[in-house]
Amino acid sequence: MKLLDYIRGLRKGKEAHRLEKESMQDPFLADAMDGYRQVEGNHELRIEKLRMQVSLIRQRKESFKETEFVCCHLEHCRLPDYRIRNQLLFSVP
Amino acid sequence: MLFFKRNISKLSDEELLIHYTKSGDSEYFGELYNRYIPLTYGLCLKYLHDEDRAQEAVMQLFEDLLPKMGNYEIKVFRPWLYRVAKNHCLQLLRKENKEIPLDYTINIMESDEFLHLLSEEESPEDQLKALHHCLEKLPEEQRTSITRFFLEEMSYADIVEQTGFTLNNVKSYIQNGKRNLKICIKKQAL
Repeated sequence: MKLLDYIRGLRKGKEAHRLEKESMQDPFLADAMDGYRQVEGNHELRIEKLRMQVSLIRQRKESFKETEFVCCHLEHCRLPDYRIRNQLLFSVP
Repeated sequence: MLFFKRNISKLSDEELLIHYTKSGDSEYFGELYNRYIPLTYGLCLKYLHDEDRAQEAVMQLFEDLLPKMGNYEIKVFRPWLYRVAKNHCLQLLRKENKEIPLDYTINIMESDEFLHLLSEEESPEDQLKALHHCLEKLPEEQRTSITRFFLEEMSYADIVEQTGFTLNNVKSYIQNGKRNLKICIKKQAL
């Protein structure tokens, strides 16, 4: 059984038992399962949101790197068109 | 590089780390961190007891780690992230002067050997005899919980349903039962 199934509430049967037994040797898994048991909520939705947030931050970082590259390139070519540079800098999503 | 990117989900944790360190392409670290979001969020829930704060802690940790990963020497990512994430949550509690829960997790981790014995698979006969002898000596609640969990392969929820014990009690009976069994089996071996 995957942890996500356990989070969804499938906590009966041999697969759930297998995951609980695995947690006896894995402190990370043990703590996470304790957390899901102790705090009620729509954890699946939260996990999905977190994954989206990670992806968004990552994409912003990559866009910023690309913008930086273009700006450096413009500077290197001695074409300091500040309007273009500013537009690029401030158009980062 | 493009070949690897197409198969990014098939890369091991350590391969993703190496690619991220070498290329600085955050897609690698994003993939790696995403794999551990269910574990990290659950861990933060345990210590922070609040969904919003746990969510915030998981994101804050990602933003902290993203620019710094190249500075760390990480052999195995999973236990490293566990230590870092746990410390992150405990630091948040310290900042708020909140009580830090005592944690016995490390102490209660079981060895393969003991779990193997309890599953009764290919254990030597004398060890099995000692196990059954010691099981009989356990207090009834501990014996019931241990037997159902290890020998009948029931989940905690199954045991709760069948016995009427609370979930916390089942976990505690199993924990104490294991400890008592270990002591008893050691004595039998002497």
